[in-house]
Amino acid sequence: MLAQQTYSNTFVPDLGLGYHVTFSVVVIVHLLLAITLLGALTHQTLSLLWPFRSVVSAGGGSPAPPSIGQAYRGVRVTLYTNAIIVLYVLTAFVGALMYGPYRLSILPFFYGHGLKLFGGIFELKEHFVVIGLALLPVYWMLWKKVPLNEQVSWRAAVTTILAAFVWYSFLVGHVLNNLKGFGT
Amino acid sequence: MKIDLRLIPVFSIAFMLGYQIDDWLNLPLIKYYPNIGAWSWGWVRVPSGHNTIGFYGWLAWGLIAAVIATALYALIPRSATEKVSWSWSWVVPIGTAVFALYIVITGWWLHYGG
Repeated sequence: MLAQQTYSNTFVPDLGLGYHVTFSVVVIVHLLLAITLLGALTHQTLSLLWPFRSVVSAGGGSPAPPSIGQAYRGVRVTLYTNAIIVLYVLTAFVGALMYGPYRLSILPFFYGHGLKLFGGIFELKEHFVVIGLALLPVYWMLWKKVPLNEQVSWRAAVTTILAAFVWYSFLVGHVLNNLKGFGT
Repeated sequence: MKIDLRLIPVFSIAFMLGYQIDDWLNLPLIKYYPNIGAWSWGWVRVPSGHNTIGFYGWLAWGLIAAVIATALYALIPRSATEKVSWSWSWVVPIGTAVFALYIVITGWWLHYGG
């Protein structure tokens, strides 16, 4: 079967409306999950690296209300951990479902239009997502099983690396989908 | 269920390295051909001209490497490993990411036939 048909790497098959509608919906679900993940992980990372601690005024009165930025950094960071892990796995899973359709109808388009650079940029996203996936057990251990006053640097490094991978993946996915999305 | 925490960094590191090395060697366990909607084992040779996805197969080898490495590490007596610190291991994802960039530059941008 494999030997019977061959395709050039710029061949974009003529796919039906149902295909494009289905994967347009899937890409939107992927985007919504990614935005939620990005928000939670950025919140946690900033709160960890640049924590806000309210200061009681010298006169003994109640502390001044925090600014928006301070409130953003002043959350209970441990609460986000399980949600981030679940969101990461779900986002990666939905992304993996779309990888075949991406290779079928979007990557050949890039090659056909001299946009080879974007194939590699997307490939890097795929690798970063898997490295992040592999990092999740350590991330969970550091947040859930190690006291917060221990392994501080290790926890900060792992969380920041995970956040960097998610930001890269989000931006690349967004830009590439703007260049050539399903149904466009 | 009690999880042995000393195994967790081993699992993660082996997963990353197993995946990335398999990507570099391009020896996926399974391959997918989206044009025809077919799967094959990684060692099946196909003529050039097929849109071939090795990603799922690299992922599979990464997981297998992680399970094997973790199982082997679990066999080492706890007394021999309890003082091992893994706090340096955050350099592994960075190193693996740099290696991934190298693979992309050499494999996709410089040599890929597209």
